[in-house]
Amino acid sequence: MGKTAMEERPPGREEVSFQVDRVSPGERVLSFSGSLTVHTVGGLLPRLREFWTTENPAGILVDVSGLRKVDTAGALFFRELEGESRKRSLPFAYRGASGLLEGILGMVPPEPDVLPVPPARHPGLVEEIGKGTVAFFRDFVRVTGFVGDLTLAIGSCLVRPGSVRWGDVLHYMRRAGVDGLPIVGLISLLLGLIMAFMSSLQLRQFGANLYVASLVGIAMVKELGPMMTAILVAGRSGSAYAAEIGTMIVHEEVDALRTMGFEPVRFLTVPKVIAAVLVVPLLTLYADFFGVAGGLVVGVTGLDLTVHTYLRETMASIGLFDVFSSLAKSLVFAVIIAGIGCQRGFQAGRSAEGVGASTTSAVVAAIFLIIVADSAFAILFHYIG
Amino acid sequence: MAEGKENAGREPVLIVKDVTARFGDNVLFEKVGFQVRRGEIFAIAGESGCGKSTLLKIMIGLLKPASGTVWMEGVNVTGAGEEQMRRIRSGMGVLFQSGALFGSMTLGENVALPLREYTDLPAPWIDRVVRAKLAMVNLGGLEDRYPAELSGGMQKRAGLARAMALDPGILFFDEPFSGLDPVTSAELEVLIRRIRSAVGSTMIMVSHDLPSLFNLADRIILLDRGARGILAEGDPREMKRDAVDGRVARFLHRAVPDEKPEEVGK
Ligand SMILES: Nc1ncnc2c1ncn2[C@@H]1O[C@H](COP(=O)(O)OP(=O)(O)OP(=O)(O)O)[C@@H](O)[C@H]1O
Ligand SMILES: [Mg+2]
Repeated sequence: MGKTAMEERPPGREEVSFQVDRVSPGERVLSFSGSLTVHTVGGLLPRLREFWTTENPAGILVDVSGLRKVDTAGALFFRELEGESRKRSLPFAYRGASGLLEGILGMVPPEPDVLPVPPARHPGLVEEIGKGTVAFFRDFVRVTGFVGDLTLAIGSCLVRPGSVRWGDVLHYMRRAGVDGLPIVGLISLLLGLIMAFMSSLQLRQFGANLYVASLVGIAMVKELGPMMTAILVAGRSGSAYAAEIGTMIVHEEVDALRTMGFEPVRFLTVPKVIAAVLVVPLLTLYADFFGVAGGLVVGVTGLDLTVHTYLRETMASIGLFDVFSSLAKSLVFAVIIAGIGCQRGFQAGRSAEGVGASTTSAVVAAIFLIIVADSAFAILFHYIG
Repeated sequence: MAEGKENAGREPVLIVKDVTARFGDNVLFEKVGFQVRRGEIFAIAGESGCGKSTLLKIMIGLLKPASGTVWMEGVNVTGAGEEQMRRIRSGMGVLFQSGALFGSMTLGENVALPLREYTDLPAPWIDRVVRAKLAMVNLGGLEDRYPAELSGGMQKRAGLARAMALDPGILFFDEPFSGLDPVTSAELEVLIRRIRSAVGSTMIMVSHDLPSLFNLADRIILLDRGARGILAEGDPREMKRDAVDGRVARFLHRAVPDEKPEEVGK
């Protein structure tokens, strides 16, 4: 093959020429010269198709003496030619084949005459809907089973708090809580600023500047604080939980846990759920605080309110019940985030792709369930409050 | 085929009877059966994808077979409840193909895990045992390293240290030699032999690395995809000599190039 290497040119300059000669009434000689490679085969295909449609040969002789270089694609091209001739029961032969061509042809065995593979069947709409429904219910059953396991595990940990891996709990509290402080604070502050600014544009027309304070306060504490915090934690930590557990499954670490007698759900999920339950409500309070602070900045600088008035108005509009209900909500959100994150991790397949999919699904499913739960809370609090 | 003479009369520790494994419609093997005797090094060989790892997972109770039974130390693994499984598991160690160390824990913590779970040793004693185990696999002094800071061979040895933490009566190995260079692989062989003579564990290994298995195993079974079961069983050297079936001969002779040193570096 040393010779080919020396004659190699930049891909753009490789060329092949192809010519058909009629020797006798039936027999055709196809002569190739130049380089028949992955860069030139494409250009030949239409001419070959044209040859088969216009000519009606009784025999094929392929003259390859002019070929300087043939690679795998070139060999496949010849195999294709052979196959087509065989299908039409034409005699087929090579002329002037060099060791080079024989070498590469040896690497590409002729394709067996297999029956054409039936094209992949496209499932109809009804079938798709059916499959989707079954998949949804399977998922539902799995999640329910997981909730059962998790409840049992948490129950047994409540009975024996010593069996909880508190070191892990602290670790996850730091990751979800302390490390999340900057982003949660920043987003809440901006949210407060935006809300105050946008509402002030409207309220100023009626001289109702003062109500900006209660508007921001109520919106932050009742809805946006718990919700934004939960969404941020789902994005930061729920996905991390799914990725962590999914990767452990890929590396057989979960199998190893089982063989050592640890119940993986208890070992891996409980610390994460406890950490989330402890941290998310605190983060929510912190988010509420920054949201109000954002509103305060706009109120003081843009609306001529004093700090004192603004805070007094805020405090007057938010009751203790609101704060507690906000904390209760965030507690439920925490369980959803950690639970779904872990559950998706456990059902990740044994591949890197599976881990990626489970991570995405952890975030999407968590946000969806957070919003569903939030709607339920809205109705519940309406009747209680 | 005849079993190793030196094992005759010894009680079986693990009995596999009529086990069939299947994923959906894909039947890996049917009605596979064998017995492993105490103190034996037993090997399951076969080409890639024939179901060796699946068989191993069935034996240690991680997977349920489609049908058939596995007994370990007289307990039915395939039908055992949680409490029974826990007892069996405290008496066995598993070295997974990748080592399966927990990435968030140091080597020391990894090895200490089974000790914490199954024993009531005080913490200083656990430390002492952990150090001894890591020294046994030539990883002394690396207790505080994380698995990610080690090479593949070191991780495998650390996995072995963890599998041996409780000096289990039965040790399972999934591809202990894959991904190791010849020198490390030979070191691991020596180590396994030393553990056997020191602890007297029964060892069951699953591998396609026939040269190493031939050095170590007392008895070997050859799983085959086409046969959907055991193609041959017996002492590896006898098996090689008597290989009549084309597939056995092909598998054995290709994998064990005797008297051909130039193939080593291949
Ligand atoms: N969880 C699973 N779901 C579906 N099929 C599986 C699963 N695990 C394994 N298989 C299939 O079972 C077959 C045997 O897998 P197994 O891992 O037991 O092979 P192996 O003999 O250990 O191979 P190797 O030597 O490559 O590790 C493979 O063909 C694989 O496709
Ligand atoms: Mg395997």
